[in-house]
Amino acid sequence: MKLSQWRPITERLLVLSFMDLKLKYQSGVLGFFWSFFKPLIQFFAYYVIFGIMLKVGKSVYYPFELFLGILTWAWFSESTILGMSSFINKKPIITQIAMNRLYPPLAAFFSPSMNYLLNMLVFFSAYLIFFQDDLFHQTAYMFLQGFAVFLQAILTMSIVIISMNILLAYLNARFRDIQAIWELVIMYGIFVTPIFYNLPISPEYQTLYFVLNPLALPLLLLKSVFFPVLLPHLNYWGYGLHYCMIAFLLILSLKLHQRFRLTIADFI
Amino acid sequence: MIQIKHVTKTFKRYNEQHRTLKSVVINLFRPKQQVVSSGELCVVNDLTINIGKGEVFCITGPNGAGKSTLAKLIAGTTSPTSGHIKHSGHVIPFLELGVAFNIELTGIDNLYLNGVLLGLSIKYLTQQKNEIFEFAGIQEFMHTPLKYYSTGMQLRLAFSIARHAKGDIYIFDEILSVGDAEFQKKCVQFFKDLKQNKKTIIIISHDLYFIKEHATHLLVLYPGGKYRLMDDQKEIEAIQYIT
Repeated sequence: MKLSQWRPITERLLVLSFMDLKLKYQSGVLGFFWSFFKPLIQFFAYYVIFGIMLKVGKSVYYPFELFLGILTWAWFSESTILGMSSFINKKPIITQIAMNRLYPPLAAFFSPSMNYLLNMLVFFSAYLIFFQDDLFHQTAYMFLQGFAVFLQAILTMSIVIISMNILLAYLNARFRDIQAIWELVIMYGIFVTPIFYNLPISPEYQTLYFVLNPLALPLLLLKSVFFPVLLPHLNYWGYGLHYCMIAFLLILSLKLHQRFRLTIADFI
Repeated sequence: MIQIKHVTKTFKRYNEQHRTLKSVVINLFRPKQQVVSSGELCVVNDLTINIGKGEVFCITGPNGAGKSTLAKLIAGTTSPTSGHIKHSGHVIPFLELGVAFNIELTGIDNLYLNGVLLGLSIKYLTQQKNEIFEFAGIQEFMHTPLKYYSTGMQLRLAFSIARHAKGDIYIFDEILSVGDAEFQKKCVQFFKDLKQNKKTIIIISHDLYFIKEHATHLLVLYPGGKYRLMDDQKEIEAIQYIT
């Protein structure tokens, strides 16, 4: 694909994502700052319950681990909820303009990603202030290794989110109760993802756990970049199955797109 | 330029719609005749036509005859149940004006939103934004949210943006009569410019005078998928009424 052919694609995604973001925050009194306050409020609520009352995490890193987990979960939940309604909410565009049907679910991924990026800047700043010694004691090799793991975790989670957005957008256009079901998944999924605690799963179930919850392993890897986190003892099969599950999600979503892209306007 | 070969488009007619997973699961245990569709609605039936470069191809017919469905099929927003449509050249569908408009966003935001979806670049839109608002006659409302625009103002802005889209085939679904008399003159002038530049134009219209004046070919669609194609200018001019 030539560079000039990428321009309309990137511009469409950019404008669709930016307008989604603008619409989301322009009506509220707090506007764009709400994107910072919402995870912060969630963090305080969960920290009081899990950190102070239930004493789940005792290390000095726990509040930051929890904050990073909440930010990442917010990225996942906001993206997929927006992605799920992306066809329904853009009905006139879908039914009247002949454009690639992947634009709406992709744009629904990019606007919360912009939020996540900005929130991560806040997280990095706080991390630098409180744990600068940890960072400066690292060798160049350790730093590069950490950066590579960070990119791998973000990329894996992005693939999971994009796949889910496409799947949910098509399913929601066909079955309108998918929305209620997915909201339940989001509500309870936070408790089966390593956000409040890291690895309470016994070793014999770890492979099954990381296959069924494709967000769990990249989230643990992301945490391990910043904090001393116990990583799972997965063998090659375990890792292989986990990444096969993610590849399966992506292929399934693209197959669904291939199958229904021309008839989706009739369903909506 | 456009080849439509044996195109049929049908829609299923349901007694009740199964739009939820719950209803699908429940109906697995019900007798099939109680839940399945009560037949099919054939909107376009075995249509075979060719539209050449530079033609002004008018489509007319009573409501429910399938004019808009045919326009959507040519534009590629929906696919035929059987048959196929081939076209060479970029299609610009003017099926409905301002489809991507969001009333909560300002005029300028909507300009970018609509413009990029029509294939215009951000750079081009930035260069042309003043001209677009000037053409629509709403320069002072550039930064006003669309919810404070009148319907006419919204349509004028939508048309002003859409006319910048560059293509080889233009499809108009009854949208050339937008706005007041002054703006309609601008719309007709835009149409004449396209005609002069030998663009292929497909127009859905009920306006017999317009059809007689401009159409090189006329397709009359009837409910149930029947159609009549006229490609003789004298035959088109002799039409007294369209049923």
